[in-house]
Amino acid sequence: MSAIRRKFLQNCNFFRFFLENVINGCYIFSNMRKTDLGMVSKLPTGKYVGEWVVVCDSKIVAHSKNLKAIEKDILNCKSTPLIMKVPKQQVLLY
Amino acid sequence: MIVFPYTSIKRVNGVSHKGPYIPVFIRHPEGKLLRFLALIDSGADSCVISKSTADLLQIKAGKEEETEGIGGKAKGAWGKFSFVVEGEHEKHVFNHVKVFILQDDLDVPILLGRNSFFDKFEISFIKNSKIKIRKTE
Repeated sequence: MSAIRRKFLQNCNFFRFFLENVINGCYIFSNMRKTDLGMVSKLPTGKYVGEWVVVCDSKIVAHSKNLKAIEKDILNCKSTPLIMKVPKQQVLLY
Repeated sequence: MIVFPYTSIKRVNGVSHKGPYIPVFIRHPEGKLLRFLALIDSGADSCVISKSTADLLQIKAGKEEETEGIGGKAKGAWGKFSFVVEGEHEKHVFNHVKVFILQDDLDVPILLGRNSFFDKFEISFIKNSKIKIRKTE
């Protein structure tokens, strides 16, 4: 293989790698808000069993048994807050 | 098709339990977009929310009724709410969905029941792994 051809192929591979990663990276980032729930398992929710928890920017910013009581914290979150109820330890029957 | 992983939530002593929770987007009356973690409940006829959730979202409740489930009897009233389920490539809007508002603030998250939610989707539960939601219409 000639040196020019090898150089050309190396450049092609570099551009392909660059484009794939930039495009994928942008795509993943744009969808992060919608799909990123992995952080929920890392939150110290064990302290708030039976309570509502408000997560803002991956941090618990408020917790209460009554959601209305923490309305201000929910509305003050700069991003879209995640609101979740921490289930009790026993088996749940709904 | 939208695929959500099972969500793991830490309970007492840091023990995690996985459940079929999915994020649903609901607009607060003041305009702010909220994301709730809702539990998909194939055993519930309808969607169910707690009183404090209804108060926060200012959902108007109708006449008081009694309902019965495996957990016992509960009083509540019917109301309507709207929510959005959004995945990577799809977005489904549910407008004016009938919801049962529990009168006592029982320990329930938002429950997505069969009527209105399961009717329009084929839902597969892959135990402790993922939930696949595919539109059937």
